[in-house]
Amino acid sequence: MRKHVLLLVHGMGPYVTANGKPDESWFNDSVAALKEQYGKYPLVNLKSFEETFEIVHINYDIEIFKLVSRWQTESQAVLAAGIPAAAPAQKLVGWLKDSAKLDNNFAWSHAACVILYYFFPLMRQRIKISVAAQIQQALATNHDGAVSVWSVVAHSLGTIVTHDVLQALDSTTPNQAGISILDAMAPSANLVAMVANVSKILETDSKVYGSLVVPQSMVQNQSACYSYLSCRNEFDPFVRIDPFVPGDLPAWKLAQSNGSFIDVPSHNINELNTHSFRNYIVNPDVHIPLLEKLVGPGSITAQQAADARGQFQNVPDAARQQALQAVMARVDAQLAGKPDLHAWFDLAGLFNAQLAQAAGAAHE
Amino acid sequence: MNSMGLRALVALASLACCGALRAAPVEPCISAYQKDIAGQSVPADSVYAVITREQGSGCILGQADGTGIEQLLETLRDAKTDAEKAASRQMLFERVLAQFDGLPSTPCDGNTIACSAGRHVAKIRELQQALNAGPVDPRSPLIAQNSWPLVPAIHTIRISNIDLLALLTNECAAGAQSPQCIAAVDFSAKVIRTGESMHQLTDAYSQPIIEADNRFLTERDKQWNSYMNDVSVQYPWELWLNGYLFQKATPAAQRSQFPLAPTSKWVFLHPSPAFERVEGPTGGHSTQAAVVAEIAGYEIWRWDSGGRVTGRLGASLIVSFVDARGSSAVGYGLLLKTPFKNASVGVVFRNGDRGRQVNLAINVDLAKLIQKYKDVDIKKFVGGSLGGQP
Repeated sequence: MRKHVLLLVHGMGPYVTANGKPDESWFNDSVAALKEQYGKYPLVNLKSFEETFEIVHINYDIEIFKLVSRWQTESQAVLAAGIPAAAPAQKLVGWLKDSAKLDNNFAWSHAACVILYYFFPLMRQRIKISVAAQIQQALATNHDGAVSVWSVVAHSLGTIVTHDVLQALDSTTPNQAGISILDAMAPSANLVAMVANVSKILETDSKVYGSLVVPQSMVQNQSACYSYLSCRNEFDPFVRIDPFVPGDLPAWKLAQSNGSFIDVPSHNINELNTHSFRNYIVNPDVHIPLLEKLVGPGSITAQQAADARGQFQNVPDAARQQALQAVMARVDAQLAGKPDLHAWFDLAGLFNAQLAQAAGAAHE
Repeated sequence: MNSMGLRALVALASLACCGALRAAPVEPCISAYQKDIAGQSVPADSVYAVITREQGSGCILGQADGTGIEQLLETLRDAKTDAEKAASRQMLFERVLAQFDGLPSTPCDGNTIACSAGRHVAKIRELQQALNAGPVDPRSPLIAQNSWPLVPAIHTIRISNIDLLALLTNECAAGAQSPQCIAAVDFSAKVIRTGESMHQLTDAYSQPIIEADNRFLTERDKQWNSYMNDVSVQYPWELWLNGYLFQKATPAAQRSQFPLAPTSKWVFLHPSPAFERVEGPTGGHSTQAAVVAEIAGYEIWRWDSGGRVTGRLGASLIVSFVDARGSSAVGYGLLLKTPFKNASVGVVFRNGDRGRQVNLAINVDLAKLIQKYKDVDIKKFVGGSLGGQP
């Protein structure tokens, strides 16, 4: 019998190696972050993580990398031709010459992913069908049998990619029976977990509040999932622009009332990168409902949940220390030859106070 | 109380309740459950989480499942002919239904074991009859993917409307080791196992539809892969322009699904390396490196049944830049796209020391070509390709 198939979908950033092969480091880190929490709860850990889940890495950055690599190659070739009269053409494509560079290239490796998905509909379609093909392969019946339980955990840009693909899979009916691809392929997803949910900000062809990616209920019979977890950290700048808050829409309201839609507004800073997958997962407000939806309600007792929440520090001392060190490192560099130390220490103090304020908010 | 004693208790309770003629088969999950909760204080509403963890790797169709159902499922999966499939299906139904021998079973509303078992068995028999009677409507809930398996998040088997969380929480109110709770665990294991078995069976029955869908997805995937990676590269402004036109031409409902990849594209301000046959100051001809900038152009093609580009044709107005003695650096012309490996041939009009030239230009998809030789230094590659003229 198949295990619970768990699809992991990455966010923005480079997830390929220099030769265009999938880079597994984010997936491995994310699985490690999940396993860390999984091991804390005895009833969850009754069966090991490996015994419970079949992990599948969904990588769409390969497609983005292929495109920017071709831009880079073409641009470099035009520049390498070395024809003085072609200067206007070289200016036109010169800015693309490092587009596939992976190191220290935030604009191309992170921002370009989001821009290409949101503003370039043809790239969006390419990514959608590529991800759909990967999901189809993951959920296909194999020698261990048919998939009966599967879930998706998506992060950042991956949340809108996951939404768009599930919407397409559950609304496309290429067969004569008129059954959607998803309905014919496997049961609806046990859980769609959107970590650092930016799907509302980046919605395009289908609107996230009115789509089929909503928990099944009496008012929503056709749907891609049974439960939906949306995580948004108030210190994560990416999710603050237009947070995923469906409000009083009937399908979402009913799902929220029966516990199949869980909205988790968190406010912890356990890593300086508040957008990171780990910064979300360490928070019991995030990982408790996530694990309960993945392995079943009751797998974390009320007492265990209360203990975990009680022990959790929204801003642990180690993170504050790390933050201050980072600030001081910059201050040191900036201070070369400048005697006005007080202004910088004031700045560091303010930053520390802000972190302390966030820590205080956890206990309110 | 040891597990043997509990099993006997369950069997006796069943017989006492309903006077069944056949005893319930020994449930392997009782001993697994006992082991799982040993030394732990398990609240009633956590019993569901304990027993469902046995699914797959434990006593429910896992290595510790001694019911033989998993083996019958393998036989069904391996069956080749219709006769073999029908025979293995029949054996599976018999073994699955035997799971409920000796258990109270009356189809009725409510979340008691007897009512739930009654509904579940009735649905299994209904499926058996439907499959024996001939083709089942693909839209029938009896063979729907969502009907039979237990989904952890909603704790319900939909076809028989059994909420196992509610049932176990209710039956285990007196404690996770109480006889009533053990009986409920016994029943739950059987319901999950048989529900999962029916899911495996109906999935096999639905394979023709699944395969048709897979063909559709594979073809679309190949088309879009060809569009982005095989057809010559589009620079960002071209990709944006063609995307804008695609959005305009494709209804929103189609765009939110998996639309057909485009069968045409505009080319706009597109520089690329090329070769041009240029006339020298003494009248001889040589092949020179050039940069050809397509000012504006248009290409069309078709998709074959394998998702490949076929019949690709197109044309562009071009400006060609060269650095050759005896020739003006800038020429103008027309480039025709050919279906052969993204290559294009063109004619370039250029002024030279010996008057007006009409030259042949060739443009290959260098980016695509270089993709095959990723580790090659671009300058050396281009220099080598152009006969030592970097």
